[in-house]
Amino acid sequence: MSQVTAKQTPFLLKPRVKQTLFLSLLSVFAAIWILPLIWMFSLAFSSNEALQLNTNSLTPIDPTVSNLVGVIQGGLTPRWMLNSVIVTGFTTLFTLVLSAMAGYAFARIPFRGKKIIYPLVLAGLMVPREAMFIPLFLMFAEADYHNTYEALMLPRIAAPLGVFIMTQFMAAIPMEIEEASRVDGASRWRTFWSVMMPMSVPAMTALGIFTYILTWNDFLWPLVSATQREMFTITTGLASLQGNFAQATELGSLMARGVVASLPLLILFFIFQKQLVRGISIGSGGK
Amino acid sequence: MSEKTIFSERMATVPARKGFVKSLKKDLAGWGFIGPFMLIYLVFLVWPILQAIGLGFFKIDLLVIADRTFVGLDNYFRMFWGENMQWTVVNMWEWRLVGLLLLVPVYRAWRKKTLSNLEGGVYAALLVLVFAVLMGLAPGEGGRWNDSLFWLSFGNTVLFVVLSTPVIVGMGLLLAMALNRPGRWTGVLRTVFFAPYVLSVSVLTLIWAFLLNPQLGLIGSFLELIGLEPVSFLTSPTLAMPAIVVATLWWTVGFNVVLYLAGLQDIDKSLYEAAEIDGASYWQRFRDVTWPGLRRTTLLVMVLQIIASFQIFGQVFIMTRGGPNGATRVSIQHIYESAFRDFNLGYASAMSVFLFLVMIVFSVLQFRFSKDET
Amino acid sequence: MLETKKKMLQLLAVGAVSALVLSGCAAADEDNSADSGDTSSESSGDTASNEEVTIELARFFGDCDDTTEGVTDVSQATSECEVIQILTNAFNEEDNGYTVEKLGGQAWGDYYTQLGTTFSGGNPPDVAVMHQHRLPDYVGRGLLTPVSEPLSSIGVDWNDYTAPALGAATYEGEYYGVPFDIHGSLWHVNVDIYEEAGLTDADGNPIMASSAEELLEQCQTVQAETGKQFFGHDWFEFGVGARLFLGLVWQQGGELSDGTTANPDSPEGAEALSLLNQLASDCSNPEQGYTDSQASFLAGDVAVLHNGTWIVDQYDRESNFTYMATDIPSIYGDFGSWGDSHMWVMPTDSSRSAAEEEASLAFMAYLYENVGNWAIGTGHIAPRQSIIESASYSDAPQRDNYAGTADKARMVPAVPGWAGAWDALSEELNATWVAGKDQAQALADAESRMNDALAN
Repeated sequence: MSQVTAKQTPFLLKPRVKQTLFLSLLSVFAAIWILPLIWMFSLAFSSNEALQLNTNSLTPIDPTVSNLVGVIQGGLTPRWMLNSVIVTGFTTLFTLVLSAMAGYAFARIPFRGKKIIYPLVLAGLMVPREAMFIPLFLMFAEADYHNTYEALMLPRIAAPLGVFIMTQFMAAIPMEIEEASRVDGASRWRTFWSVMMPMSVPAMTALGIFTYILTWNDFLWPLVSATQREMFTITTGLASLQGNFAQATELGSLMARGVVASLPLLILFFIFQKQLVRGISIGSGGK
Repeated sequence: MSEKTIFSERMATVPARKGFVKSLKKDLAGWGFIGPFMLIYLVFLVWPILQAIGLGFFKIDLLVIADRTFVGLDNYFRMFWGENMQWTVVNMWEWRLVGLLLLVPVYRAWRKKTLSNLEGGVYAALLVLVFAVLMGLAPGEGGRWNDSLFWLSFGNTVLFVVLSTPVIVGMGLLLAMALNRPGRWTGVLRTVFFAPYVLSVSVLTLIWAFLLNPQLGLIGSFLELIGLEPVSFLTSPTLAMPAIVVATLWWTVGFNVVLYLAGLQDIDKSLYEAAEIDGASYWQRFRDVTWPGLRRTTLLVMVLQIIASFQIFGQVFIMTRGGPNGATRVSIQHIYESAFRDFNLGYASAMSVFLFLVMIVFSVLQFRFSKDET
Repeated sequence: MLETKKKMLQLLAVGAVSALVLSGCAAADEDNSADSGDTSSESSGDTASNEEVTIELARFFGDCDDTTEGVTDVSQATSECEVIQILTNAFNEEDNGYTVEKLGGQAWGDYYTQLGTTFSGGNPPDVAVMHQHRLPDYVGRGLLTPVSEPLSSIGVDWNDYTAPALGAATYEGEYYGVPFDIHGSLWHVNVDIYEEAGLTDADGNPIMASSAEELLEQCQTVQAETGKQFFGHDWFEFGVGARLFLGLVWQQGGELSDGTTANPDSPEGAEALSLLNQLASDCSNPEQGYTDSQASFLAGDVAVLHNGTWIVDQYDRESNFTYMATDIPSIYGDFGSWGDSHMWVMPTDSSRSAAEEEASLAFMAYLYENVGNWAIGTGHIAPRQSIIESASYSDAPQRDNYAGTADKARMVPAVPGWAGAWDALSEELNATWVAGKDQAQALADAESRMNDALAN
């Protein structure tokens, strides 16, 4: 409607005014959207005593860093962070290397069996992970392998999404580049390692950041597999602190743990936002 | 089928054979490169699927896992059957009617011969028909389900899917259209709407459990500010699930925005220009250009959202533990509790298989949508 | 079979493992008590030198390492967690050649999941805490080792235990655990509010209702005279409603279980549920959970809080009104109140060495010795006669006021599968006051669901 009237009364400033108005409205909405996050940060920097009286401030009340210091000094939170960093880091690394290798073979090496195996791998894309945790649990229990880093990593590395992405990407790299290297007498491994891998950096960053976030945020599998407190990841560890009897009296400390748990991801996100967006688009078959 | 995607013209074609050795070398290289991944893939993804199916026929005690008794279909009987089961026309007639009505367009498409995938359409129609008949089964007077919690939690899961999908997909579309313009500030806004997506589920629940708390949370204070009673969302049987949907919306809508933004980029700009010249209103442009242009994206986003929603667990497990009054108990929680509280791994496996089958239907759809493009 | 599977996994994980050795060491450096991730091969290196025998202890009660590190004086403890942690510290400090390493320490909700996982992995802890109602689940599967004989020989006097405590540890004539306490429900009373409402006797003690009518009358009086809420408890989070329900059924001479099945759908059950619903609608706020109801009580806004023995000392310290902990009133004549027991058990493990078994038994005997410290430091009821009669126990705050609970406490039925059945009961009862579910229907549903849980 308003569009039509705008057309009827040509007035130069109008579209710009509208544009500004629209953006302002959107900005207000965005401000509301980010409010819960700001609230968490604000509570994390407020003293526990002040929070007994008032929890509705968007700026820290009685500002203090003691909550954060407490997180770093005491309890298991640093240990959980370390677990998360180790599990997530190695999962990402292994996913990248194994996916790139398999992707290279599927894209470039005409070996027998490929036409059967590749569809089998693609079919794995359809497997809903959360429905598989019982047999996985039993498998690791039989081998007495729960509460280990390997148990936390291996099921995630088995996800075929990375292979799919890398195969697509490597198939699109011009044949001539690889051939030049092969003519020089380089072995397959060398070609892969020093030609194809460097060429695939964009896809690998996207896949890497996507894998990192998904792994960091895994909940059900770590909950089931890592039941010893020392082996919790920060995601399950933080969950274990909620619903605890003491929570209402230590709100500031609890929120500080939330801040510590999310900061690494938020920072990564601000650096690699573009790559993550790309990862999502390719990863879900959007583009 | 799927080879088409990958084995495009860029792919290496099998070269003329220059002898057995050369092709053997290629085989070895190929197998060598895929070997490490395939090993892990087979052991930790393929094998568990096969295991789940097998385990569903056993009674396995969590505390003594070596002790297994073959029980045949007992676990499935416990899930799907009850005392005094009766078939009636009226049981859940609303849902069954909706299902049957869905068949009408399929039938019409078939008559008009516009059904692109005849076989698929027939299978889908048969599936709907079978379900519409089966859903007439329910415990009659004085009867009950063998495991009423199984149905309660599955019902809640479906409810979550039905509530969350339109909301999160619709919001994703609206935000994407609003944010689909150049400029640094829009970039900042995009970041804002996307940021919650990177948080883990326990951070989400930490924030929202307190946000929704009537005494401590911002929402309660806001309601008081405008003169309303603070509402205890998470302890209300009617409001708990919607509250979980809202928290999930805040958390994951960024994902859908990303996919929709990509979809919007793909729409041919000249179509908009043409529409503008024709004097089309904003609404007309949306209806005639944007919406049709986003058809494939929308299908994909919907299916992805449905699959993700079926797997809901963390939010409710941490925030409400399935309460109040079982209003937010979902399938995965029921599987988890059957296995780890009631020690019944076999039954938990059988339920996993059921959930797996439900979700695989949607996964197949996703697979088709994402394949169509390339 | 198991071994080959393990080998296979090891082979697969070999890349990951080798890469993790470094990080694992770093983790162990940073935190000595935590092992590097592999429970089966832990700490063989750094304890070998002084030949300490290390055993694993699995327990709940929470994690309080921040406040108890290096502390060995149990009188400094202010919570359940601190008492048990300080006792463990003191045991480790003693020159006995034993070291107890804590596994876990979560809130009790997740504890049994963790414990179950250790059994399925074939790697159970050496000593574990367990509620008496869980005992049949584990003993019935042959997972616990009887300790009657070995503990008698190192100084545990079973005859000193009170009858309910000993009953809790007994299964088919053998003792399977060291009872650490009896815990139960109490009424935590804000005496000031009672006084303001004129509901105190000549000595200033609150008058406890002796019938359902009187209870509801008191509720009306308190709310009319003071404007405060009469009754509070956790209405939906941790099954507290079901505890009061069970107590009220017992007060009428009813039973909830015959030892194999459950029958909440009885006239006594109907009466109890009806009273609970009247309390919920007229005298309380059923939107309050554990934390909210506790906060309201401590803020002085509620006359009576129904909660457990474990919190008596804390309330005694933190309340700034006249606080009194007292037995659940006998509303239907008989005494009746929910109770349970924390026990220390020794899981059966064929890989446990003789030295480790000796250390485990020594630790259990040590905990037996310290039953008094546990009871005095928390508010729990001591399970041993000699402690109950000791001066230091009766000197502890409030203990005389709930001597009745100590005397007549009854345990929640110990039936295999009880945990699931109890959850079902709790959910159905909660549905009546949270969602307005029909009471008769809720009891009927509770009965069928409980029996499903007990049968499977």
